[in-house]
Amino acid sequence: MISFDPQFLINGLTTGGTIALAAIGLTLIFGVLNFINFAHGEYLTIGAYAAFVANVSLGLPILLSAILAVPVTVVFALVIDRIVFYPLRRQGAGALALLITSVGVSIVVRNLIETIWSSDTRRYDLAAGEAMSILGIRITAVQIIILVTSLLLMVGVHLLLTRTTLGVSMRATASNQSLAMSSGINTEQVVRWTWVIGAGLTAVAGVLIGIDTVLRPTMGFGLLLVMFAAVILGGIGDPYGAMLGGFVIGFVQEVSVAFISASYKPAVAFMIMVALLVWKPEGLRGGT
Amino acid sequence: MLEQFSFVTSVATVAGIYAILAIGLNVHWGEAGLLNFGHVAFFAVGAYTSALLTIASPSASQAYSFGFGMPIPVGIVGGCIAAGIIAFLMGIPTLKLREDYLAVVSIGLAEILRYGLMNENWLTGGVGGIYGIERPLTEAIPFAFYNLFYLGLVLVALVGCYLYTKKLRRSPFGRVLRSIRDDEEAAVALGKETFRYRMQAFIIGAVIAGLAGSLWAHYTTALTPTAFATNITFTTWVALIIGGSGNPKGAIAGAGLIISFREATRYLPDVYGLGEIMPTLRLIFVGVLVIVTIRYRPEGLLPERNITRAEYYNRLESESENL
Amino acid sequence: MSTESLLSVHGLRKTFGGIVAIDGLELEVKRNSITGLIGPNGAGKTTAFKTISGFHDPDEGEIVFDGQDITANSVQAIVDAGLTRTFQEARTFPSMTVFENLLIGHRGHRGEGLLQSTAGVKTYASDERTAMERADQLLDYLQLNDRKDKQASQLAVGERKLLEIGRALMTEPDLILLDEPMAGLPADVTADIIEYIERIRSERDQTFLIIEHDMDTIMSICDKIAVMDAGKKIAAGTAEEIQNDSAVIDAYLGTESP
Repeated sequence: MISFDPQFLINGLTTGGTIALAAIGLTLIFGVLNFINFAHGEYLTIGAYAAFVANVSLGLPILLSAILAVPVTVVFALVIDRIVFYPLRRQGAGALALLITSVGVSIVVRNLIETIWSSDTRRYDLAAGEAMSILGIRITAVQIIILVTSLLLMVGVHLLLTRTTLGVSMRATASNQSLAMSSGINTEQVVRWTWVIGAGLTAVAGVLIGIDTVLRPTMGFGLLLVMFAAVILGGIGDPYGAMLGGFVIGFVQEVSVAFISASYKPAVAFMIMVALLVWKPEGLRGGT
Repeated sequence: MLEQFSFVTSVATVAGIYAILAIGLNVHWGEAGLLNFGHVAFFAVGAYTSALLTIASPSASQAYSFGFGMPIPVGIVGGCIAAGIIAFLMGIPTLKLREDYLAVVSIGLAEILRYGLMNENWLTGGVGGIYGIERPLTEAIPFAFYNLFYLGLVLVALVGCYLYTKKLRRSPFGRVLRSIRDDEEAAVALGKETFRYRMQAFIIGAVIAGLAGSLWAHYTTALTPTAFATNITFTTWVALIIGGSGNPKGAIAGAGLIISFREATRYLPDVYGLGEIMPTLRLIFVGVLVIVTIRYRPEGLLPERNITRAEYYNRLESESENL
Repeated sequence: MSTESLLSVHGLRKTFGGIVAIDGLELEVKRNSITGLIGPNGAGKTTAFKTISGFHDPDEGEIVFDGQDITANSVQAIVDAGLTRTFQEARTFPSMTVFENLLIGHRGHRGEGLLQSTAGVKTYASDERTAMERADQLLDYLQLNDRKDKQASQLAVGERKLLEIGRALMTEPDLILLDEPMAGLPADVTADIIEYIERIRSERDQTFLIIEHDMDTIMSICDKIAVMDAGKKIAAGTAEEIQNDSAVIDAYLGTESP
């Protein structure tokens, strides 16, 4: 019996927090637009690099850079939707055409970033954080920031989804689009705001990852499958499920190191996802 | 002059192998409507199996433990069979899934396989891989002509795959596959066992990809897991989308175009000084091409063509003359 | 087996989650009849079709077809026994030609096996010939000959309905379940389809069970009509009997039929 090491919990929560943030956007997009967006990882990358430009090229403090990264990424997401996805939706293209197109978008964005900044890893201009020890668990300032930010944002999402008309419309559209349309919900507006919130959260996740580790052009794409796993785990279209899924995946990945070789760590998320899709596609929280 | 010729030969060989891959993927997507994003897995299984079957027994210093020293034809057939078995195992839980879920699962499985290739040193030589794979008939063919010979080998395999998939397309089996692709529930209502057809199509496409992998292994003589990343799947998909899916000719045309484009642009840097960013620029162009193709000409360059009643009758008459 | 009934359904029950879709359904369809199945929306008519044709397994009850118990049979076994179902939205195979759509309907085509298709026409020539000849004959009968090489998606909606019926006929059924064949059709096309159904019934010795909402169609074409509401049969009889049945009037109160 492996003794429970609380270090796993901290590592798992911080990894999971960023995955959860990115997964919320992915699941809302899938729920509202009904297609699997393979370009979703690029919002993470764009957010991280936007903050990089602000922080390293323009010399702004990291907090301001992180805040600026959000509208930049959101604008990108809206522009991409308008010129690529929206015309396809209008001509009645199916989910598969949108999926394949999003693969194209992902290739273009990723390589655009690599063209400009090369594939070298980049880092933000930060003071090195010290690690602290709380109750025998090692935790760095960065990890605290990640945890706090993720949790704050998730609370914000929760408030949005439950207390505002927009939020309620989003949840309604994500779980049953035809019903939502016939109850008079303006779906194009919901779509627009879904991109805003989804891309915005994912951008923050990108900055957090950049703070914690490094930036590289494939950082978002590399996490895409893990995000899918979190979304499927939590049930597609369910933002709370995505939060739960993100934390579970993060946690399981960290804990898995005790059982199997660390070099399989990313594969663990894939294995969970495959197993779920085959046996329980509606996710841990059950079907709607 | 000889250098250019040798360059063209090697580009054509790579294009030919991708064309075989694309024909296999066309059986999945064009004929059966299976959105398989893990195609590289069958390619890798074919390559590694053929390599391990034909390579000599490893010495103590090598990471991998198996080498059977069999003749190359055995290796190639073994590669095809192994790919088919993997397809069968992958297919059992996944082929009943909705199409877009299949896309996600198939990448997941391909990635898990790639991690296995990287980590299971005893089987695959791990990250270092396997090298020193044999090439067929190196004694019989003069060195100067060897690459041309190998290109010929690849072309023979390509023509074989093309003719077979074309035959299947026109056959009753192909008709049922397309009906399942169009509307599975309606096919079920006519009494067709749809799962069995999808599985068979999945295995056939995988076996063809395994063949491509085996040919690749004996061409490059060395295998590492990094060579089998998702970009191979992506390149094959782009070839199919641009060339025309649902059409084996389209698969070949698409592969030819994509590979020629890739290789031709490798030489531009020297001329225009775009050196370092050429690989990414190339990919940006390909990505845009995919987006534009899906939007304005989703059927691709060589669209799928329907088979007419007259063609069915002609086939019946001409081939049963021998009865 | 003296029965005149081609299809007998007794005590059929089907639930989904907590919802009872079919609640003790009784149904008889006489040989060579055109029987109608009507009822307000949500009465369970399409669910009944799906259960009878094998897409769902019933929770309770018995379905007897042509003397055979087909209650828990697979769709394939039921099609082989002679019962074929069509869909509300005329689900012909859109990318395939009219001719191919018909060919697919041919049952027991040995060429459809992978081995035979790989080996070549010689191994299945007679099945292919039979299928093609039958398809040719239906092309003439349904007057679709000039469109035989067109993609099904390019046909007008009325032609697609006919094609779907033709494809069902290729399976050599004894009973065809037609699910709202007139849905979405203009009035003149409806008249054509009605005429075809009647001709097919008498010339090809066919039996039909039809779900319809269009009352004019039902009243004119059906020998007998069964009425469903809330998963049960509430009335059965000829058109006049149904029109005057109080239970039927109650069930339809407030639901205008178009």
